[in-house]
Amino acid sequence: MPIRRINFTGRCKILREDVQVWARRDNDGVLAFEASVKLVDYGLPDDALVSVEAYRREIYMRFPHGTVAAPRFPGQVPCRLTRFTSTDGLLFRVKVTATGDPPGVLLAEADRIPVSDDEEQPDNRIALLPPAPAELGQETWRVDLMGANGPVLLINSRVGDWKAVAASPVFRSLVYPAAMRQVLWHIYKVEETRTIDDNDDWRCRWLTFAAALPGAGEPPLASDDDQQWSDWISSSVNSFAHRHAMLDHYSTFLAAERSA
Amino acid sequence: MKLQRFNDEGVRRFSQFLDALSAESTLAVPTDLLTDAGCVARVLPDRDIEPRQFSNRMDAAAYLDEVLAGLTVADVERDVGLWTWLSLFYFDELCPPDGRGRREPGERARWLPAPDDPRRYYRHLLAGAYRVYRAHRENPWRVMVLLHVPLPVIGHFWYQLASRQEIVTNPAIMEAATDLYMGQGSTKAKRGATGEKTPGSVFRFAAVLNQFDRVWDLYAMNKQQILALLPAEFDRFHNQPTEA
Repeated sequence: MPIRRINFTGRCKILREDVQVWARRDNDGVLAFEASVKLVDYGLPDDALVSVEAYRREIYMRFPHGTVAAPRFPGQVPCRLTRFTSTDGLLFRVKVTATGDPPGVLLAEADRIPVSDDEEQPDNRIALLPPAPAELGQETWRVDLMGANGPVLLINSRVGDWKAVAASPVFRSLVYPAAMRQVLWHIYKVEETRTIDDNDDWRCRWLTFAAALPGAGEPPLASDDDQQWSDWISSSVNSFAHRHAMLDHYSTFLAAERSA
Repeated sequence: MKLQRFNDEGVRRFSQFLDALSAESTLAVPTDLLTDAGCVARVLPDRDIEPRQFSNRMDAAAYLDEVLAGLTVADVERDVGLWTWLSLFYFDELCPPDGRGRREPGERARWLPAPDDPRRYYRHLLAGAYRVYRAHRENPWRVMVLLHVPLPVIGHFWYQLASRQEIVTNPAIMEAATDLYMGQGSTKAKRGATGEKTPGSVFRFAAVLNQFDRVWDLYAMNKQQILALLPAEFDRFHNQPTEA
């Protein structure tokens, strides 16, 4: 029986659309960022402290951002990310903490906020199945479902340029529908997820994504019937494959192979 | 020798060697690859690097931090060619042969960095130690609990603490862990600190802090405040004298 994570602390989840982060390089080449954090609708205490954290692997920087009533960065804006050399893998976290007794209690949080592009509209899309290289023996790919932050599509690092492989139409056409089916079944059968309301939960984001595909419809959340879930999953995977013209991509690849 | 980085061919040849070594453990180390023009690319500006015997991972990380400072490589931490070349350069230190000349290289992530793999990026023997050292460069002692072990060893402290971003990035937590499990000035872990079922061990430390992280803003706390939060099961390590 999987452990269901319950937010028993009463802390509030800040929606992704209320946090935006833009990064750019200062004239001296140092990375810097500006953030927009909207907290007015969360009912948080005016004097609660706001901070923005930047992190990637072992590197971390924290920037005070005033209070809920008066959010602001002290000193220089944009804030300089002197410990980071690139935005690759760089993520941000916003925390709101109490000043009362006891101090330091976490009141609200938004995590895993990616950098938005300076020139374009902020991109709040979540990579539902990020690829990553891995040592897989003779297996070409595998879905890793053990991560706390959601599934990862592992690609055998011995294939060479694994990023190019992951992006290739033929690989996508063969792998992604199968991987999607596997993830959705795992969410139903192993995780036993029966809600789509928590946008910070990877399982809910997956179900929401699948439900939004044309013709898929809402997942049978009230049901524990395997056949009913299997039908819904097939419908959403089929819609996904149709949207991305998976068969066409594969046929094109086969035709090119034959004529080569 | 001048510091170099492997190109794709160098990474491929080293990877082949690791495969072959798994099948034939006494295979000679292909050190000729380190200077093979078809396998390496120049690192700018020129840096000298020397073979060394490191007393522990901290020692190696500090030396690499010194050597790699100021390189014009776009992102030193994520440079697969650079860290793979370094793996071969220090292969005898990282994978010493036993009395019969046999070597056990272990999993691939120890040798070829996987910067985009959230499960394995921290397992590279050299890059992992370097990144942790660099993240706490202003006070490296606070990560001694992670880096006090011999270079080929990763160990329970590493798996429990370095694999969790919320822990390894937090200076106060790392300082508390080193204080708790090693004590001031010690280079040895206290008895029982890595016992999987020992109350108050590093396994429990990671689990308890994972829970606290949902309630408290742990980055806003100092070492004393972190230690004060820990339940009574950790007292045995508070009170245990340091190992000589």
